[in-house]
This record gives sequence, structure tokens and C-alpha cells, in this order.
Amino acid sequence: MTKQIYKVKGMHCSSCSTLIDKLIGKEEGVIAIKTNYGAEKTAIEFDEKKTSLEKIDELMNKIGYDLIRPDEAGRTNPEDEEKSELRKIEEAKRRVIAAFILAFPIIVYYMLIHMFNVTHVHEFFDFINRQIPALSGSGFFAYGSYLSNYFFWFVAQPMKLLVGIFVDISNPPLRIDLNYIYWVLSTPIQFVIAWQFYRNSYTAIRVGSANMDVLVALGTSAAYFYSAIGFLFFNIDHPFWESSAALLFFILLGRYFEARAKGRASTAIKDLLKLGAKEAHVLRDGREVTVPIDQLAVGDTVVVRPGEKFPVDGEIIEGTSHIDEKVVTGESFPVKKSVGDEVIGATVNQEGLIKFKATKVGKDTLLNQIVKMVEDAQASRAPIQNLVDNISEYFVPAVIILSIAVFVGWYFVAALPFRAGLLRMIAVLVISCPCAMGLATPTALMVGIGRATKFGIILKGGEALEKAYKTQVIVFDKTGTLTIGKPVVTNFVKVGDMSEDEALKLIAAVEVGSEHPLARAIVEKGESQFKTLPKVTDFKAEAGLGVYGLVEEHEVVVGNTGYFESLGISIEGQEKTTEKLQNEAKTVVYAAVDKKLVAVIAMADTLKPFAKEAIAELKKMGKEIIMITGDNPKTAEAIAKQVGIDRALAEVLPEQKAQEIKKLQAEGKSVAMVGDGINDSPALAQADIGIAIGSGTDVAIETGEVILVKDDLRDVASAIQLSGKTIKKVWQNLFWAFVYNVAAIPIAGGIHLLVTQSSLGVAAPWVVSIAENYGITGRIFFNFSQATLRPEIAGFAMAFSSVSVVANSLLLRRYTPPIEKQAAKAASAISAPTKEGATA
Amino acid sequence: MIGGVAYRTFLLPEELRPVVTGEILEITIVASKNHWEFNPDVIEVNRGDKVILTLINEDDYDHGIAIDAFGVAQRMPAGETITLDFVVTQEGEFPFYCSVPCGEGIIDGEKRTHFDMLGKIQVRSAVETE
Repeated sequence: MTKQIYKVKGMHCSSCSTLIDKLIGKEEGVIAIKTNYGAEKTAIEFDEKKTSLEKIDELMNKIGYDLIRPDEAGRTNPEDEEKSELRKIEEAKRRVIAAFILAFPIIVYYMLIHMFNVTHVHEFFDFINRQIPALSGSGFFAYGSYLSNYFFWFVAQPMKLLVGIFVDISNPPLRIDLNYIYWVLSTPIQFVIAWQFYRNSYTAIRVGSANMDVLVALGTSAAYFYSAIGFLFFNIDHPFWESSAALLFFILLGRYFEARAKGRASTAIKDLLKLGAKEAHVLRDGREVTVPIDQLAVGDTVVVRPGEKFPVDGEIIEGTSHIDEKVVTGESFPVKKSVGDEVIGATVNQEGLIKFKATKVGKDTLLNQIVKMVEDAQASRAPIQNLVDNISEYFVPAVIILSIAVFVGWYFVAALPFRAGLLRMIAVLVISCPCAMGLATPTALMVGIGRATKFGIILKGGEALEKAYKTQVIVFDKTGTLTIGKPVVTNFVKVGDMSEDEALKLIAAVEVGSEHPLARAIVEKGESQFKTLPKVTDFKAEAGLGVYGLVEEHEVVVGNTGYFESLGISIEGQEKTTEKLQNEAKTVVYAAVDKKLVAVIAMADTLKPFAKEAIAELKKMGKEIIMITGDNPKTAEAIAKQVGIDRALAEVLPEQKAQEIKKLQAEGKSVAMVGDGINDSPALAQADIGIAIGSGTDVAIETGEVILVKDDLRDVASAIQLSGKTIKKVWQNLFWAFVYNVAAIPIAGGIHLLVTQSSLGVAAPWVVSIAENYGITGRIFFNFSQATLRPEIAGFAMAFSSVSVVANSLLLRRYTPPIEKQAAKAASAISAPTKEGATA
Repeated sequence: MIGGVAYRTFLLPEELRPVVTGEILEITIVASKNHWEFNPDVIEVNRGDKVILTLINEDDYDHGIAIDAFGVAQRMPAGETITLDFVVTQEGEFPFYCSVPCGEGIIDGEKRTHFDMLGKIQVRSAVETE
């Protein structure tokens, strides 16, 4: 018995996955199969004794799909996939453009004619010979009609010139019905550009299910054939080419947006593997050889120079150094390590020469395990079910049954002529074409994603938007996310008579000699106050203790308690200050000038600007906030308190972060993770939505579905607010598109006449009484209540509803999340006084 | 569908059954130049009549004629005459209207538009006239 997940290629709609499940599931030996269209993956459980993977693959090929077996997997690399994904989007784009070019004249012509009741011109030479229009009244419609006519005249002029070269246009030798032109334009849209709808419908019908494509194919075909056959053979009054052409254009547009909003495959794993060192210096027979890391074996002795990365995990056998483990552990300060300590691959050796023995190589290293965790988490995340597909499961059969019922009702039951029934059936099919519904989601998502980009928030796909909105719990990584990720001077407590400025100048000057991060913090503070610092001579650094130097003929010493004790400089009287600062999880050093204590300096990793505001806003939005860190509980608590987070999880190992997220998810919560480090990537991948800080590592950025480019935590709130608004738009769109369909279908089918007419052709008494008692409104109601929606009006209304859905989505471009407004206000409040100050 | 066929064949009440008497009634309707109206706009017929309509469009733009109840939807090309026929199988009053947008204008100081181009067919009971 084997259960495995494989990639499947060639699926073009969600019905394909149903088809695969249905047909393969029937095979002997296949116990269970679940295929996912969005992820292009299938999970098969089968009995090897009865069937084989090769056999299943063969079957897949037979029904038109391709299962990627593990032995074929090597042939498809992520780059190729990315390319084919891009090709697909490109193709969708080309289709939209082609459909647009062909459909544009039809759409514009019919839309304007219907909206403003412009005189329909059906003949080519009449069209180009039209006169300059005159305004025939006032009001919206009169002006609309006037402008439309002017527009047609404007279009006609160049045509007149061009055609005039060949024929005498005032006395044309032949008549060309414009409908022929529309017919030529709409035929390729119907059968070439939109062929996919027929293909998808065929697949859907094969599995006995019905998706939206079936309705699209039915509705547009009905419109097209009615128009074409009617025009060519029956002299019908009103072919409505725009229904087939415009609807297909809009649906193709929706599909294109959908493809783009789906987002591209993540390349996180590729980036992760790039991180590790490529080569290692190995001691073999006493000689140092450089080999690629895949040739390293457990037990090899490896040399790592300052500035180099550790190639694999191991144990130090010689040397002492500070090691920057931030990439893996997220720890902000380099860690001092010496003989016997463990080192991790991909971390950076900062100072000394280190020799270590490799203990884990290849896929056992911590880095590779993180890769695996990211992979697993990404594979296990279920893609969001397509809401529209769910609705269509019921909507489509209902519409088809209804359209037949309408025909049956009019032709058989009411016993009207065949054509009366057929016309209404076509009207029902055309109006139920789900094009506004198909546009509702992708257009809003596209605009929402575009709007987010304006605020420096990159959303990878519509799924990210949907999930951001649902977030209940937000987990923040500490180092590098909530905090800057490196120490800064937080307290400078002056001791003795020396002025603070003077003391800082001397202390900062002596620290210039040191590369230690704590020293850098002091230098930075000094440099920010005094542009240039005095020279230091006789500099001496005692590893792990402190520094000594001569500045402006003063002996300056900076170091920890141990260093001061060894030099015999008293730090008496400062114990209380020290204790207080240390309780705030700060690192404390002392400074002395000419053997006299002048300052106690505290340093700590500090919060990023606006972190507090961001947390406050998120809390106001009712989100549960949790901080997660590998740091000790004391530091964690201090930072949590500062930023206003109530719940902090400390001493969480990198590999446990994803576990913690999983635990929260098991409580039934939708979890967002905000992080920046490689150590955060498994958690970012595990979370329902991973939010990566723009200044973070490439891996985190690739893993996250949301990226905050500006490195401003308030954007977390922005992203959630914006996604909420976008999702609301989607619902609005869906609601209107759906209600519209539901309300218009009965009218198209003439079903309302059952209520508004007492018998055929006779208005019901209640309708008559309204008509008599409510003046003009009553008359309008009367006319509407007695008429049915003709197919061409249904088609026009359908196209119009698509336009309104797109317009509604575009309104989203004007939305600004509340937190961004606050930020803008705060920024102007800060800049305003300084401007005044500058002028004063 | 089958139910519909069965209903029409066996269950349809007598008064709703389509009546075809074989009588032929020829009517001419004119859409006079720039008037946005059908002339005449009220047609009286007997149930069961076969109506042969001759429609003359005097305008140099198109009109259309649509009678929803009888599934009529025909184009009246500019300056041409068309004929069409249908059987008025049911009793009642059925509107017809111009189904091709044909603009608007001022006639005798009154504004008329495409939307005013309406008419109705009054179908009298066949029994009454016999």
C-alpha cells in the first residue's frame, strides 16, 4: 500500500480534477485519490500488488493528463515550471487582447445605441455618410445621444476618406449590411479565442458535473447562433452580436486577472539552498584542500577563516571566535564559541580562525532540515476552495432546468407558437451567463493587490488577500521584526564630575578600535552627536572583557565588571543602577577615564519605530497578538512589555517555531506569522499567512505571502485592513452579480407574468390598480410588468453588469486603510512644526 | 419536457387550446417617415386568424417589429417592405413594439422617440364572432 503526492500536468479547469478522481478512482487497486486543480497535485493511495504507478500514469495519459512520476521529476525543474506558468498567463493576455480588438467596435456601438437610444444604422455607407448631429433636447440622455452620434460621425470621417478612394460613396455601387461586419468580428471570438469554454464544458459534462464554463458556452452560443442564423436566414429585427463578443471578452478578462492573481510558485527553497557555503577547506593528511561541500564526510576536520561561512554543522576542535548565527537562530548578538561548542552551517565566523569537526553533513544539517520543513509546510497548506465553483455546482443545473421549463411552459403549457418559447429560453440562457460572477472576485483582488503595492505591501496572489482578512492570531518574531536586531545605547548614566558630552566623546573614541557589536553601538551614538571623534592610540582589546586606549592623553577603559575588577577600578555605588538596568534585560558596561568611573552604559536591542502603534492598532482590530523568540524569557518579557504584547513565547528553538504555529492552528485559529529570518521561514510557511519584513532575508521574503517593503510594522495592520476591504468588495460584487442574475432570469423567462397577469395578455387587477393610481410611475410599472426581457436586452444588461462590477472594483483604488491615514497625519504633524522652526 | 408534451396533448383546458380557424386577415402597417409610430397602432383580429402583416418602413433607417406573445421579431430595413404571418392562437391583448433603436425627433411640437413606437393586437374570442 502506498500513499503519495504527485504532480499532475494538463489540468485546465477544476472539473478536470473531478474527472481524474472519478475515472482513476474506479481503477482496481486504487484505494483513494484526491486531486487538487489549484496546486496541480494529486494524492493517490494504491495497492502495489494490484496496480502500479506506471499503469496509473498510462490511464492519466489516456484521459489527457500527465502524472509526473518521481523518476520523471528530475526533468521538470522549478524554473521550467515558472516559465510555463508565465507562458500561460501570457497566452491568457493575448486572448484578452485579441478578443478586445475584435469585440471593441461591437461593444461600443451596441452599448451607446442601447443606452442613449441612438438611431440604429444598419448599412455601411449610411454609417459613413452620416451627418453632423444636432442636439435634440436637454438632459442626460439627449446629451448622451448627441455625443454618441458625434462620436460615430468622428469615426466615420476617416473611413469616408479611405473608402472614398475606391468607390463613389455618395452613390455606392453596393450595400453592405453592418451585421456582416459584426458577424465576421464575433465568429473568431466565439470559436477560436473562446474555444476553451467549449473544451472545459466538454470535460465537465463528461464527469456529469456542471461548472460556470458550461453556462458561458451555452449562453454565448445561444446568443451567437440566434444572431447568426436569425440574421442570415430569418431577417430578425435585432441580432445581438455584442452578447457573445462582449460577454466572452469580459469573461476572458476575468480569467486573465484570475491567473495573474493566483501568484507564482515560491522559490524559497532555491534561495535557502543558496545560503549555505559552496566549498569547504578540509584538512586531509595535514594539508588543506578546498572541496565542494557535497564531498564532506562526517568526521572531516574543516578550517573556517574570519568572514567565512561554516559549510556544515559540527563541533569546534580549535580556536575561539564570535559567530553570527542570526541567519539560523535569529539571535541578534554574535555568540562567543570555543572548543567543544557546536557550530551551525551557514552561520558566519566573525573573528578567529576555527577548526571544527563535521558532525552533520548533507541533508542532516540544520539548514537542510529547515528546507525540508518549509517544503512540508507549503505542501500541506490547503488552497482556498473557489467559492464561485461551489455556487455553480447548484446554479448551473438549476439554470439549465429552468430554461427548459420556460420553453416547455410557453410552448406546451401556454400553447404559444414555437418561436415565442424559443426566444424566452434564449433570453434565460443569455442572462444567466455568469460573466459578472466570474469577474467579481478577480477584478477586486487585482485592484486590491495593486492598491496594496502603493502602500509598500506586496501580496503574492489573491489567496494571500483572502487569508489576511481571516487572520485571528498574529505571531510576531522578536529579533529583526519587532526590534531592529542590533544593540543600541539605551541608557548613559553619568558618574562623577566629567560632563556627559566629554565622557561620551572619549568613550566612543576608544571603542572605534573594536568590532564588537556592543562597541559599534557606542560608536554610533558618539558619531551621531559629534561628527568626528578624537584619535585613539595604544589601543588594546581584551576578548570578552573590554578595551583600553589613549584618547587626548586620557587613559580610557570600557568593559564589564570582570575587566574593571582586574584593573582595580572601583565601581562601588553603582550596583543598584546596574541591577535595575539588567532587570530590563539590558547589557551593562562601565567606562572609566584616568582610572575613575565616569559612566554606566546600558545597551539593548530596541523596538523598531511604530512597532507600538502597529500593535495597538492590531489589538484595536481585535486580533490576538503573540511574540515568539529564541531569546531568554527576561529579554522577551522586557520587549513584550515595551511594545504592549501580553503573550510572549521565549526560548523557542527555530525548528519549534513552526510547531508553535501548528499548535495555534490546532485550536482552530487562523494564524498569521510575521518574521524576517531564515529561522522564521518554516513558521512563515506553516502559518495560514506568512508576512515577511522587507529588510529580512531573501528566504523569508520568498516564503512569505505578504511582504512589507517599507519595514514598517504598521503595514501589517494596513495589509489586514486593505484585505478586509477587498474581500468586502468581492462579496459586494458577487452579491450584485448574483442578485442580478436571480432577479433577471424570471423576467427573461416571463415567469413574472404568472403573478402580473390574471390570464394571458390580461393584466392582473392589482397591476391595473397600481397603473391607475400612481400616474406615470404606475404606467412605467405597468409596462415593465407586462413585458418580458428580450434576448438582446438581456445580453446588453449582462454586458452592462460586467462593466459595473469592474467599475465597483476600481473604486477600491480610492481606499486608504485607517492606519495609513493615521500615519500620514502623524507624519504631517511632525513635519509641520519643524518647518515652522526652520523659518523662525 | 415529456410532461409538457403530455400536458399540451391531453390536459390543456379547452379554452386554452390553440385555435386555428383558417381565416386569413391581411393588414398593412406603415412606419411613416420620421414619425416614430406604427400606423395603425391597434389591430383587431379574431382568435384563430392567420394574420399576414405587410410592414412598410418609409424611413431611411431601420425599424423592427416585435410581438412577444407570438414570437415575432423581425427587422424592417430602411425604405423596404416586409411581410410576415402568424396565427393568433390565443385570446387577449398583446402589445407590439419597435425593437430596433431608431432615435427620436420632434413631430408637430411633440417629442417622439423609439420608445413611443408601440401598438397592440386585440384578439377577440373566436366563439363570439361565429
